[in-house]
Amino acid sequence: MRINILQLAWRHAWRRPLQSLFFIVGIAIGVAAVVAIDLANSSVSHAFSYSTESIVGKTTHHIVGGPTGIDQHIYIDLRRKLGYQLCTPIISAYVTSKRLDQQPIQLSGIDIFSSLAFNTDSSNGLNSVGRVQLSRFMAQPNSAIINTQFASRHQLQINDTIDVNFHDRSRRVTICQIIDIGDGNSSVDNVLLVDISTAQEILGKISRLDRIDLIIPENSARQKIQSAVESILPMGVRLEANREKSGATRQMLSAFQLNLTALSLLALVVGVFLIYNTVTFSVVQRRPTIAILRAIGMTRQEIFTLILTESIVLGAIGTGAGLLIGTLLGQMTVEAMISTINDIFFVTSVHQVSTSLIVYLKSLLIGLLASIISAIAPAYEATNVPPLTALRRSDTEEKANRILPWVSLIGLLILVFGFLLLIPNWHLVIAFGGVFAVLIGFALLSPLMTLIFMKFIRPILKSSLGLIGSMAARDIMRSLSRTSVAITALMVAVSVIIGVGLMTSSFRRTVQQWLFDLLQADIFISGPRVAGSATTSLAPRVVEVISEIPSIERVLTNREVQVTSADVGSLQLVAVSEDIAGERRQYKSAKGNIRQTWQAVESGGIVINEPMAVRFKLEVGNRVKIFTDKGLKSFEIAAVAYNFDVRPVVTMHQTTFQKFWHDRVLSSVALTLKPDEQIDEVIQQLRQRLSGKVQVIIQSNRDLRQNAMEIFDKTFVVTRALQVIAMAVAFIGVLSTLMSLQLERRREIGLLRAVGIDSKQLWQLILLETSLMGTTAGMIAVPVGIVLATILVYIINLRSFGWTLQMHIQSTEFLKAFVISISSALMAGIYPAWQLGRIPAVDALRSE
Amino acid sequence: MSTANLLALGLLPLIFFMPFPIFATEDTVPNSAVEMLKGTADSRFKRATEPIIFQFPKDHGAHPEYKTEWWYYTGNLSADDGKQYGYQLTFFRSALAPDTVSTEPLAERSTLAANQMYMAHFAVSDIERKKFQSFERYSRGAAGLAGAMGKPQYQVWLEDWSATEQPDGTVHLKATDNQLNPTLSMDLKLRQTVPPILHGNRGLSQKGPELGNANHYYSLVGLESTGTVKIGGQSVEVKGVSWMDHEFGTSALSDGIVGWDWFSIQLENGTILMLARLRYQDGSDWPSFEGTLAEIGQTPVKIQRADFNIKETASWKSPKSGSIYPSGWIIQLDRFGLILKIQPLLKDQELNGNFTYWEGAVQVKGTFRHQTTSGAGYVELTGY
Repeated sequence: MRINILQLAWRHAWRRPLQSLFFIVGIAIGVAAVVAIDLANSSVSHAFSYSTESIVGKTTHHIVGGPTGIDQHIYIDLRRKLGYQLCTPIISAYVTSKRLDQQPIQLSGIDIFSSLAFNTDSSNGLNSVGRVQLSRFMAQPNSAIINTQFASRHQLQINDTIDVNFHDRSRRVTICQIIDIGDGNSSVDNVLLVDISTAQEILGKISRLDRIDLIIPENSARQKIQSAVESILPMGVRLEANREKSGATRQMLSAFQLNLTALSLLALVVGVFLIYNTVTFSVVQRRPTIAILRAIGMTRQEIFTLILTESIVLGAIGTGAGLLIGTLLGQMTVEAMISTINDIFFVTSVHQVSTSLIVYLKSLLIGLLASIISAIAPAYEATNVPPLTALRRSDTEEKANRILPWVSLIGLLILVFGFLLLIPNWHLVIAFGGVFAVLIGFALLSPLMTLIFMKFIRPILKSSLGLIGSMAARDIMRSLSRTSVAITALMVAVSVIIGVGLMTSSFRRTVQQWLFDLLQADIFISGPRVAGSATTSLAPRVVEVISEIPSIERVLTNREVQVTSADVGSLQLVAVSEDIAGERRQYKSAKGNIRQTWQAVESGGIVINEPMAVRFKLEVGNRVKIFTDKGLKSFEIAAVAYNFDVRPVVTMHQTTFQKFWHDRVLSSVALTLKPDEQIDEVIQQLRQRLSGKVQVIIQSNRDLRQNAMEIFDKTFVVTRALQVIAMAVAFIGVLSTLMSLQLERRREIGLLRAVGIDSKQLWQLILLETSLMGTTAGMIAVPVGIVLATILVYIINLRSFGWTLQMHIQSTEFLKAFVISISSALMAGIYPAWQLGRIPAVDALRSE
Repeated sequence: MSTANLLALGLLPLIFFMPFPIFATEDTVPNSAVEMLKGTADSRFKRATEPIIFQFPKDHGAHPEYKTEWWYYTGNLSADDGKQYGYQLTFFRSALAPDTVSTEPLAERSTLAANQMYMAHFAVSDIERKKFQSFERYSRGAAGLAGAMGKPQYQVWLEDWSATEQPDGTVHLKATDNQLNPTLSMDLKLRQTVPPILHGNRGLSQKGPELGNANHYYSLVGLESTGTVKIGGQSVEVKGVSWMDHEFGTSALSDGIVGWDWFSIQLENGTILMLARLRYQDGSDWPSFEGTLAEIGQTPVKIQRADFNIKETASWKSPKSGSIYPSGWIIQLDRFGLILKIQPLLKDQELNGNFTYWEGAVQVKGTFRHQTTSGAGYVELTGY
């Protein structure tokens, strides 16, 4: 006999539309989360590789100096004295413009003649510039070239003008040419290309260059050329090989991406539970049908194929839907991630999702595999249905009880294995493997915990609610093979919600506290800062104005620049006149007490931030070599400070900085007021005196903290979205499982009705059962969630970003979790209770 | 008209008036440059409408009020063992915009800002080894990267390529492909022996029928040249004779001209000859061209187009560009009793930078007023 398996599968799906729908939705949401995050991640990686690519492509070396760059005469000497042709001057900075929506735009100053030798196809595409009108580009002041994408995005035409702002300067730039370069998703889409002289004038870097790029071919003359070049460099300027300066950022970024990927996989894990659940249920429910099929000659293998085919078909539909939804979500995720990335990592212009076939194939595979894997066990179980017999349920449950100790043992082993994975400081992926193992271990222990909990609560329920209470608990124990899967799925989802929620709130509290400790001044003034630029500078006028206001008691100054260390590469250097946190400063480790540490800093020591210490394995007492204007100098680490910058940050005293760098500019100042002075009034005075003269940002302590927290919250937008997705998957899973579970009890309910249970009691029974399951899941989820949060806070975050967070157990997170689990459980009970309550006892029994 | 003039007329506009050609593909050859030259000259610049009184050394320097200018050195050299060499070292200036007085305060002005841009070509023909090498450079005329001045000392330079007047009055030419790892270098001292020769009408050399379509143009000829040429690590002492053209103006190529053949000849007795054909598509050429013949100790004589006849005797096809160039000539100037047979010292002297043209050393044999004569020179061929 030939049986069309597909047809059978289809008919089954069709007869149970709700179940099939849940199956599809579950897998769709899981896959969508994976696709969205993957797409966003790949777009971000794409953006990153563009952002780090030099404006010129073939560079092998750079000539670099201190924070203010290098004198242009070095370039002139290179060309005139040494006649070295393969070198080109670069000035680059981020500017903003109202006309360009205040987004950071890269202004790149180049010398078109010397830059040509550097261009490659993969760089910004300048080599394909066929038509640069030199008479405008070079000879007309403030002329800029943009590419077609840039022009169309901002509706710009030739001869349009843009007022660009850089620090406190503003210049009107004319678009002299629009050229077709870049691939529509590259860094050049966001570049105002100007002549090197124009860049000097716009950015106020007269006679300075940011750096000189060189190509020194790898041949016998390389050494000779290097020495010749080095021989003309003044003190504080050096020739360095073009190593990847962005290494640190890339690491941080991949940690950030990995965290999101792991979260998206968590959503999928929850989805897998759901599918497993659904398939198991559909098998159990069809035992009689399967028995008949066997009786009429279907082989075990065919049954197996039948069940698997059903899952694959539904899984494929779900995966397809997931891919679609994921693509849409991906766009939103990219937006959310880009704003975070602009804030903390680097500036990018990429706003498009770079759809990649690999992402889709991967997600397709994940979706189908999840459907198959979660269906294998139930499908196998179905093959064990002997023909003819309509086996009693109790057999299954007996078997389930038999294997319970084994499942629990395996769960325990996986749990231990997961913890073991977390102990050594291996790759982050392994740590995440540990997190998953811990979660799965707990999941496998859930049935046992459910059983124990039910045994414990049954007498209590019996004494308080009577027979119904006792029945509810017993029913759950009796159908453990399915109730426990539902409880586990819910538990996994809820624990993830608790874990991630606790981590986020702990993080937030820690940052808040840190900001509170740190920001001990009343008013903060800084130059306008453009995302992505390492520094900002304050107009000298500001300091004059400050000295005119009598209500100011103390002025703390700060200079922030980017420098290069021989040991750790590029780092952020902060030179301060005194520690703004003062006595409240908390070091992770330090030379002595606060006072002693500060003395060490005043006498030339440095404070490094925790991420730098963690990543480069630096400790107090180690030395860091930094290129200064007076050559390579080494500085002793006096302390490691808590700091939530992802970049390596070195803080030193102003006198130390001024001793080694010829830089007297200030980046920002912090003011404390005399007692009884009103902060808002002083800000008002400052604004009035500075209005129209210079561009500055004046913020009160409160505003600054608020801004910082806004950025923080933006950073966690994606995390929260994933939390919601995990929640949605869990909700649907629980809904579907519990609903099916109750609907399956038609016969039993009919019997109960027949022996006299009224519909009110039926409602009670069903809702009690489902809420009992919700409560159980919630109760198990709480400790599991705390364990997860602990791992995330103390292991994953520290290893990803080098941040030590203080764990804050927040009761609202638990409350949220309980509300979700119980409400979803209750909701899941409503439909079956209504449905079953309607059927007359006779009808329900007819299936007998 | 000099080689420089013609070259510049043909090539400089391609560089400076038109979209930047460095990016251009190899198919962009001067033929199209000639096409692009059509049109009117840039009205923002001064035009050469009447003769000026040259003041040296000041006028050896740059004249930024005119759009284009060049300093063009070519020469024929030989070593003690008789090995022959030819060289070309040329500097071009082109104004991207007229120099205006900036309103910006000095401290806000970038010294790298440039209205002038410079291009230079350097080529050496190693006749014995049949090797021709050429190099091309560009730079902005700012911050000392490139420039030209007549006072206090004459100097024109593009980065480390330069022509610099020495305290003893000689001019020092220096060029190399790569100072730090050279394969070709040249270091020459040029001594002026005769006064500058002014071409055309007291140095006003007409380039077309239109008023102002002209350049101020003088040449330094019979320049005694000594120094070294270093090829592939081998240094050779050389001596010979060089020719320098200096020209400036704001001119445009006339309609229909597709290219030119230009000749600068120095005979052994010190007589020099400069003439050219500005070719039309149909093979005819501009009938109003004026050349110069100068004998030692005598006033230079203007040569009208009707005074000379040029016959091509051979041709050569470039394997690189595929262009077919004439490769041998007989020039007859019956009015002066001059017949010259001109032969390239090397067939392949084609420059393949961003512009493809042929500029090479030639040997000259013939008769002048019934006496056998010989000499050397340079020929430039464009638009092939």
